[in-house]
Amino acid sequence: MNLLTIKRIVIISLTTYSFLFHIIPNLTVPIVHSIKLAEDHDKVYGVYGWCEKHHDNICTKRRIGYPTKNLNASNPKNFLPSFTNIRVTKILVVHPIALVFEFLLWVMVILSSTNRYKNNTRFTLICALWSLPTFLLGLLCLLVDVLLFLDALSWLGWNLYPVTLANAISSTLLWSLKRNIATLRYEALSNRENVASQSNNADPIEVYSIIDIESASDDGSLLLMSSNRSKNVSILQPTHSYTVG
Amino acid sequence: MSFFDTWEVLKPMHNDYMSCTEHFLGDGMLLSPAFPIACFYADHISFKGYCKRNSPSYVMSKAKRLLEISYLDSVERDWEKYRGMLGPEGGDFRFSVYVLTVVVTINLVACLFLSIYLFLAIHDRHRQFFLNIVRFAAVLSSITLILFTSRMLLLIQDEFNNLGVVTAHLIAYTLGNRLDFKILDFIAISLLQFCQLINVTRLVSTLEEKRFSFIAGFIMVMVSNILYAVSLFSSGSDSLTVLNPFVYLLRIAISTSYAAIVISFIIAKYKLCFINFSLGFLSIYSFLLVLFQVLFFFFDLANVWINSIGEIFNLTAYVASTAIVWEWINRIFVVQKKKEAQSILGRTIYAEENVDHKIAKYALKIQDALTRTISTEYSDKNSFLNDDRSSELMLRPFDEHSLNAHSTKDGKDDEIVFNIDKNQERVLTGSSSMNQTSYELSGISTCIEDSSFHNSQNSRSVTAYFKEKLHMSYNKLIMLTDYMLIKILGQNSINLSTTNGEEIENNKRKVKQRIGLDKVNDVHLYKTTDIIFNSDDEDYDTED
Repeated sequence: MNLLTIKRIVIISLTTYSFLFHIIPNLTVPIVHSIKLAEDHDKVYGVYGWCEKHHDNICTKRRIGYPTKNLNASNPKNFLPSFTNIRVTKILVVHPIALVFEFLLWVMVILSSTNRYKNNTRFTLICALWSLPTFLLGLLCLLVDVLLFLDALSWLGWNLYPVTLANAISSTLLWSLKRNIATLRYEALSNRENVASQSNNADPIEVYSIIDIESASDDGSLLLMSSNRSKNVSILQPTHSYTVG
Repeated sequence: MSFFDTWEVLKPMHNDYMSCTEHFLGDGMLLSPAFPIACFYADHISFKGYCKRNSPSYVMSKAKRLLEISYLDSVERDWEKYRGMLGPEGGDFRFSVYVLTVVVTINLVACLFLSIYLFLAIHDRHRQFFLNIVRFAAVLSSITLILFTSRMLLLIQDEFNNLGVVTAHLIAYTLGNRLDFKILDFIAISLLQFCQLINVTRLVSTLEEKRFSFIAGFIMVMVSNILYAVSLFSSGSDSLTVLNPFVYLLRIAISTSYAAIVISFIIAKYKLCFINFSLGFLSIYSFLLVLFQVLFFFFDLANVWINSIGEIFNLTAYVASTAIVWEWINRIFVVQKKKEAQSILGRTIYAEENVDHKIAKYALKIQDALTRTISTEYSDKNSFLNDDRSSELMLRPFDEHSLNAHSTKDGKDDEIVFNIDKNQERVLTGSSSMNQTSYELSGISTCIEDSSFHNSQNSRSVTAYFKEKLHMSYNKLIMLTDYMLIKILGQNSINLSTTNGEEIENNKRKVKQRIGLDKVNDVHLYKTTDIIFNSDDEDYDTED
């Protein structure tokens, strides 16, 4: 297993992890009652609404931004654990947006490991570029959750921190992968050119290692270190020296 | 600079304090040295506390009980309520004006120090323009903070003289939300964010990555600042309540991304970053500075230390994370260039630069553009289609005789070719009505391409037109970014301003010696030698 394959596996694993843990917050209450983004004394919060614990899990309608009119027991000013204005909960919209971005990145990463796009630099570049807004949105999700729920945030909310880290690492690896593919393509190209030149030319150019050749004279004849070394004469030592003026 | 934005819930304050309203206590004894009689019995006593802006004005002597007489229950309850607030309208010591004054003053001193440091210690002649932007932004930040601090002190003085007590409330809500400070803050932060983008562009290696990081970062910075400007100049709308925290969080996210890039560079090149003590210290310092904004965000949320410290230190954190990282990158590049100079090629060559023959394609593109420009200019200048002489030329067979006639007329050999080419171009450029055979006569591929371009212009579809426009826009964008990156940023040559004179002289001497300029008057004659390979010698030996 070479380095490139390992990188691909790591990228796919990290992106899958990020994708999964972007799905779960989008399934929180009121969609699935057992999954919660944050939990306060008597309330359970999710991305699309919130539920009351003690009233048979009465939940709000599913929408972006918490409704203030339902469930009259709540005071909109002291509703959230951070005392933030309840209208600010509309910024929880970053969760579904981040999920879409993460999904597209995941699909692209999977595609980039197929034979068709495996060595495609442009496609890998697109993946790497797409990973930048994905990382930013993942980070925004974390910041929004922390801002709104503070220490009432459940493990699902805090888990966005390793998700953001995973996004950052996968983005870095994607850029690195793009450079590796470019190098491989260049090597393949130069090898092909060498083979072509050797097959076309009857008298192919001889290739010497750069270590053996110390300098070349103007008429193209090579001065080899080994030929002079045998005579104990330095190649840089001139035969005659004059001083002008 | 705004301490408490509209997205935060205003804490309960209006008419919530019982001591601020008049309430009857009944009959009883009154004791006070301020009264004409120090102690007397009164009927129907009513009490109303000293309140300003609907909150009680407490003085420090409140806590020290000189007499063992308890306060009124309403006063005790209000004091507890006042202390329990989380904001400058009440709260404990961390929300008081003393802490605010100290923090704002420290902030000013730090910003001033950084501005002076930028002018005196940081020099970068290759990126002078951008360094000047950083300096300008730092000066703007300092001016903002000087104005803010002086206004704050004047307000404190007025409040003390008029009310006898000083609270952080007025500073936080009156001074902190003033539009002029916000505009200055906005300009300074926009410029500093742009300079942070330049830092990021310098940190990435290849030209392609520089190009993409610049474009992506520029879009991000622009979006953030446009949204901030919208939230700054629009007020009262419901959507603003959402926009303010979003922009705030977006700024934090961009700062975190910047920190992530700097930290990943430190991790990737840790050997270079910690090559000596001073560079290692600067690396750790940069590491901490880029994390300041993120840490302050969490401090602000948790209210662990000083209230709104992130907002107060926002400008200084931007200046520090730009200026210090700038100097750090300069020093890193000095070390990196020194190491690269010892290698054979003198700099790192990336495979991406040579793959797909990008340089050759770019050269061909330039050549093509130049050819088109000359051709178009010439055809416009001569207005070929309306020229009778040119029409005559067009109908004339394109043979050697006619070309020779032109050359004889001009009489100069070096102009002959030019005249021939021009005539050919003239025929072909304006030959939209000509058939294909006239093109074949010329035999010049570039001109055929050029004329076919003009010929097909009428018949091409709208899609092709837009595609070409899009391609041209893309090319212009690439050219712009390349200009920025290559002409201004790409010159990562060694900045010798941070080294001493002796070291400069030593380096110069070494370079001169290396390229043979140390003995310019000496002439050396070298003997040419036949090529003898070791393998050949061995072959001969074996044959012998």
